[in-house]
Amino acid sequence: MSGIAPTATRPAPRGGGGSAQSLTSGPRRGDLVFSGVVRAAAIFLLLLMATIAGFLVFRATTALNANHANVATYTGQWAPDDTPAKFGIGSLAWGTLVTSVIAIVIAAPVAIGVALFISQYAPRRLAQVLGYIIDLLAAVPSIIYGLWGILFLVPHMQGASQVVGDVLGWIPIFNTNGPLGRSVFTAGVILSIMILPIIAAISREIFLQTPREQVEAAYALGATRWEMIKLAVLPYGRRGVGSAIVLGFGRALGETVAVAMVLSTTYNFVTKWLQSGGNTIAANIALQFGSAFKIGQGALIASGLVLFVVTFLVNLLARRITGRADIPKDERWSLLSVFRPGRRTAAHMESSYDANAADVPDREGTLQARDQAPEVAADDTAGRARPHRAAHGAVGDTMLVSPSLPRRIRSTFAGGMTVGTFVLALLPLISILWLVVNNGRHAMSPSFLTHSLRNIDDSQFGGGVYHAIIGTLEQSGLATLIAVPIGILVAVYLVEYGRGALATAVTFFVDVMMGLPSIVAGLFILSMWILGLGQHANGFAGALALTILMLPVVIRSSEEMLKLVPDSLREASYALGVPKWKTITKIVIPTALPGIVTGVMLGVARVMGETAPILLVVGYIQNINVNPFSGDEGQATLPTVIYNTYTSPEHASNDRTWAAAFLLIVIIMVLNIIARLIAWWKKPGRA
Amino acid sequence: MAKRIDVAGLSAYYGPTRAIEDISMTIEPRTVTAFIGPSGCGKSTFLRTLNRMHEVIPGARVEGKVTLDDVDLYGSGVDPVAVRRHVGMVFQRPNPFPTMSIYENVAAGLRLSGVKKRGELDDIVEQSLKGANLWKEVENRLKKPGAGLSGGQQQRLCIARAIAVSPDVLLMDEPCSALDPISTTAIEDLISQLKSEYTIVIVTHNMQQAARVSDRTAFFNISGTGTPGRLIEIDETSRIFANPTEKATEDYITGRFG
Repeated sequence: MSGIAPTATRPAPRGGGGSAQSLTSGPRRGDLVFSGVVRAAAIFLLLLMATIAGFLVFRATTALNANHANVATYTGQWAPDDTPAKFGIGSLAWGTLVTSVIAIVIAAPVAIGVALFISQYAPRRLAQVLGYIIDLLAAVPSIIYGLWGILFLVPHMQGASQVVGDVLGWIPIFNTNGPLGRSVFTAGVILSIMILPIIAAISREIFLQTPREQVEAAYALGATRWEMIKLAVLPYGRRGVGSAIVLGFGRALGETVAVAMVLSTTYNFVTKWLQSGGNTIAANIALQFGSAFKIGQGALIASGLVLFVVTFLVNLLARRITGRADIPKDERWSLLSVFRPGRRTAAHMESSYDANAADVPDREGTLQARDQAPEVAADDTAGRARPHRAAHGAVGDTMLVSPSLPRRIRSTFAGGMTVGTFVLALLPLISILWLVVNNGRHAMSPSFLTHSLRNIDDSQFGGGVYHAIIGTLEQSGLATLIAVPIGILVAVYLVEYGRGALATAVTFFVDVMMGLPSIVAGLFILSMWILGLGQHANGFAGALALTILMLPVVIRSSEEMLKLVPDSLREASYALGVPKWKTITKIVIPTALPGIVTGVMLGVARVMGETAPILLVVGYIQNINVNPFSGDEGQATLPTVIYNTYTSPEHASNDRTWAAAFLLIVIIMVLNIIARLIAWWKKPGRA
Repeated sequence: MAKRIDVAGLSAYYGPTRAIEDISMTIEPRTVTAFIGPSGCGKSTFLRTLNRMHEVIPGARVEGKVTLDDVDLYGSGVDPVAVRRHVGMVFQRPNPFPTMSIYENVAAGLRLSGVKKRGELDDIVEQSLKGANLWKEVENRLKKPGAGLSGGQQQRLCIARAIAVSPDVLLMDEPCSALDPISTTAIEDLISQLKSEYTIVIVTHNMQQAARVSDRTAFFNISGTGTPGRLIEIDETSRIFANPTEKATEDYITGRFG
């Protein structure tokens, strides 16, 4: 018998097709197709990674076989195309690690402070605007950080480095007895500014989603605002923040152009971090690729492979740390879980302290405190504050005593610190924007936007970047068109379907892709697509390189946001008899959409500013080419215009460089605003 | 039309753990059946097996038989999605879809299964909201987000959403446990009205509530931590509360449990 016909008195007479519905409708095609598609996206990603790895190994082996020096320890020069070939990668890898570690040590606490300030301290009306301002920092392309680094930061860092050297000079790495400024320390500082907005933006999103009940539960225990943050917000956001930090670390490892512009190149193991000199793998590829022949290319690819392996090992280490922590096996790892065992120990100490306290005959205040022990013990500050609370009980016999002075001071201090981090994060943004606007306004004019640089010499005024605007929009637009659907599908696979080996592998390789240097993505497309498959070096090749960079950003952020959609919504939908694929497309994804848009925005902001991969796979031209698929004809983009003109000694050319930088920032900002308007417009009941 | 549910020899598992064991009962159409019992006795788990929501949890599975007017819900070829169209569910915490307006929330089940006609949807939304005693309160703000309502209103919105797809059975998993007494009364009145059209099963921790709203009551219990929950007895509510057959039931009802 077929299904159940509704009676006339039912509140909801079903449509004609619906009433014939049977319990045995057989397999649902929608679900099969949808799960097949997301699975295919996940498998595609794995195949892509396998191809990258295979290609890197093949090309690198040739160069390594030709190398006559010890690849791990050889220092002093980079001469793979000499006879005999000599090059060493160890010192480059060391430089990469040092700069990234400096960057993460500076950026992580500042970014978390900024995220806390925006999500917890700033007035609600202001929070969105402040968040947007920090997003602007992410919108600044690396090439502009490079310009700013060379022109502004390096001169200023010389003095700062001298101060640090004078104070901490007894530590060998801070020893100074040579030229300062173009050092790994400066590079690390620039990298920290570059990765800060990514960490801050994602942490902020997570903090904002802290369940209200948890916040209120903390306040109900008598927590100050800072204690509430430690009880409710930070534990809730731990995984997300850890993921954000890994994301930032991956970007620091992969940064190329800014580091290449700031560091003065040496091929030694950097031991004095304040002194000029050093190199990173990624920067070295950018610097050496132009002059590399066959072995030289292979040597650079070999170094790219080392970078690949380094990120791989970082992932492995982080996974192992997670394995020891007290979280389920299928949880994704996060760097912050490092802190868990320590926190647990603190909690244990507190509970044993409580046991002692219980023996003491006491007044209401202490009783109260002891009752709270299980919750409060998770937080060491509140635990330490307990004796004070007891003291209050003893003094006044009243419960209406404000928190003890040390607790209030600590809370105020913490709030002040978050404001401080926010101001600190604003300083470089203001500095950069001031430089770019101030220097960029000279050449900015309507004709700058409508003319190319065709037949314009460095010394001539006039000309413009119309050709580069087209290139930038087309290449990043194509990359977005490819990366966003695939990325969201993979994220849906991981969150809604992913179980077992495939999901584990995909998660892991997405993490690895995170650290894939943009320059290596460029190398891959160059050799695979252009040299290997015989395709052309044109705008589309650039778009493919950008796609590889954008994918992990889209996947990771979408994944985080999809995970934050409560299961109760999925269950509510299932209970209405809605198939899984419609639950995902109509309930889960729309709920996560604002967050996903933020992630995509970060991805677009990242690729629009990319210089290095474009340099490798798209020829730089000064005239207009609107077709990204046109043979071997190159295409200019705004970043490559800047990169190809910033070293010019000519005033006219410099003006155009800054104007191009100005324009690049404006375009990215406009895209940001549009993305936000879409997210806002999509929200129901916005009136 | 309301339907009768027959359960025979049903056990449910979370991975290797057996949560409920060998439960058999008959749930009559157009009645309210209440499930009572201590925490962890498997009431909610059992409820979720009645519309195949149990298996949504990874690693969860079910053994035994559940028939809805002679159709085996766990028979081969039976589509869990179709089952849930016939057996609706209301959850402990109100869970309106946050991205949707009040109107869209009620229409969600129909829209997502292909009913698109505006006029038809308007009618169903109005009837469902009236059926959930919510229409008067929201008729002027149907386009506002459902999350803006009070807790009790949200729960009635969720009930409206559930009855909009015109199920045969309505399962309610502690629908009032997150609500204040006035909202609870509103929901209880609603349950009494809905039973003329639906088969209703309600899980509750509140024995007064079970006594107030239900026609039949089932008592579940566990013999100890880690052991599977069992059905102790099911009977007319008046009998369960006045003169239960089993000693365990009497102990629980009179507060001598444990």
